[in-house]
Amino acid sequence: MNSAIYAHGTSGVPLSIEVSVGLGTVRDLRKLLLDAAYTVRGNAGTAVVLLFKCGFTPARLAAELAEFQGVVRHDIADRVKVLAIDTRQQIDGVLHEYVDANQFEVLRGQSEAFSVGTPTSSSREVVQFLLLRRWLRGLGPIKTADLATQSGASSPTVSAAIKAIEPDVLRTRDRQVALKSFSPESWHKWLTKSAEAQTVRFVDRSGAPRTPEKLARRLSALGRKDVAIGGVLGAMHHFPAIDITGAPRLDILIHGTYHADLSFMEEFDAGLVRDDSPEENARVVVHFTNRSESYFDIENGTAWADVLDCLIHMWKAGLTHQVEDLISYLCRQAPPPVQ
Amino acid sequence: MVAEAIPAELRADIIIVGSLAASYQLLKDSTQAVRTKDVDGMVAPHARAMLSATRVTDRLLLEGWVPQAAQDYDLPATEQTPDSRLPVVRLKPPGTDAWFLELLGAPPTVAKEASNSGRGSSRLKTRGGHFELPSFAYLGLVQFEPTMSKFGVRIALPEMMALANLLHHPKIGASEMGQLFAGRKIKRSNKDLGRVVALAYLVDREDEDALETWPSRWQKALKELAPEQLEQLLGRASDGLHALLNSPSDIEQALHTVNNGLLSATPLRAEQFVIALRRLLKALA
Repeated sequence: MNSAIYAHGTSGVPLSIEVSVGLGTVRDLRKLLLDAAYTVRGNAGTAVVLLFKCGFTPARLAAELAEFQGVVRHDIADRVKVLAIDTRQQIDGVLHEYVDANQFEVLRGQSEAFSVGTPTSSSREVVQFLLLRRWLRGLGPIKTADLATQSGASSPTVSAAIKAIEPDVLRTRDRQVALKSFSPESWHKWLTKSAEAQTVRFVDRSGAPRTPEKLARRLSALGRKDVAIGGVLGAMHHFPAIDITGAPRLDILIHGTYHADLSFMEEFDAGLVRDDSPEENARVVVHFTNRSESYFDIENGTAWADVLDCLIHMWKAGLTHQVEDLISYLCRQAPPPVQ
Repeated sequence: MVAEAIPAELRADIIIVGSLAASYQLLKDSTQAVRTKDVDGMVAPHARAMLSATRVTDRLLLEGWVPQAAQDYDLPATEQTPDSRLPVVRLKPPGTDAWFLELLGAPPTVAKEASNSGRGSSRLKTRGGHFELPSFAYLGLVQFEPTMSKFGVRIALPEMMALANLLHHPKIGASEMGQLFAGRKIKRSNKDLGRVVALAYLVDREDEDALETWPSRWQKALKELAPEQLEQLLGRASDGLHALLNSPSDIEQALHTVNNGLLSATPLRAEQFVIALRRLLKALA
């Protein structure tokens, strides 16, 4: 499993840190190296590939790296650094070499978290997602214990999530909670925090990109119940009357972790190539949710992401005005809460 | 220009095929139009092909069109000229060197199996001497629903030209083109299969759903023109494309031909060519 971090290196140039755990095949190693080469191709940056629990002997790894350097242009290959990591001190050594001092602690924490597969989604946001969803559907208060069960969050996390939006929360005498409002500030914070979750991006290399609508039809034809259409197309599905024209890209939401199998994307469209560098204009962005419930709407075999997930995708895409319009629309449409 | 040059009463017997047909159908923007000197016209149907080709040739010669000589062929050819030295009908209109018309004949039937062979030949006796009227096993498929241009000549459909090329090349044959293509020796299969990929790319660029209609269009055409071979031919239509996909050196040759031909205004990178090829295979699967 792989995870990527983007930052600025010591001299201000882009730095990508790819963390891989348990790499065991030549095929996977070569893919990782090529992905790194693509990442640095369009900029002057460096890609650092950290291999945790790598199954290669040092000699074999060195031989593969020599092969890679033989087939990729030197100016690119020289900026792809690969290191097998066995101890925490090795991470520190690598990061000190490539990363600004003020980013060091954050990046070390992220690298370590990825190396042990720590989930990255914020449970607080999941708790608030559930409260928002109930509020928009006119559902009544819920016990905090049920919130914990449904969100998969611990009791302290549920409490912290509620406390963070306290002015918006209605507490009942029997210790149930519901939203009575959701302020613009709360929306802003929730969207921003939710949009920080990791995504995987695919760019078009064909020169004749598929429209998001076409890609969505392809996705629908796969019949997957765990992969939903989100973003603008998802929002338009839920609320055809809203004033959003033209999806700039296809956002899809996988009910699973960042490490979910994405091999189905190869069947999706031959023009799509994974490229997580932020400079590239993504045609498909894959989001992940590891809530216990997906809250997908399945209609005629097509899975649609919940409108709140669609809002997160649109926020992440920078469609601020459209998000604000949709929120206004949702709030007007929401039934009065059941007391 | 082509339509104007061909006498009105003869236009109905000719279907324009090849790069001019592709350009007309798919490169609406004149800045992208392919510059071709070679205008291929198939005389159809087969039953009238000899008669029509003779009429067309006699009429054009009478109007001052000039036969084009080619190395290794006799011009003018006579009754004594052996078949192997007969020139094809390649006529240049009077007053211009910009282009010439080359005649092909519709084959009698669609061949039973996809194959690299299938070139047929008939001796054409005209007032200007003897010529060869070549025909190709699958080119007859372009008779399926050709577009009637606003100039009054019929133009082959891209998908039918593609099918004819695919059936003609179920594998990458070793035979090379007689002439250099943009300075290089090129396998005929690579030129023709590259053309298919270029057609698919252009069709797809215009309408992203269009390629998915090709299999049903082919089925309809074969049902009409070769019903007994339908399953067999459709089943092998993609073989040449798979062979191309698995051969980087042949892809490189095919790309050279399309970037110096149909796609010269908007050349593709190798990666884009392979994507277009994969998308076509996906649509045909």
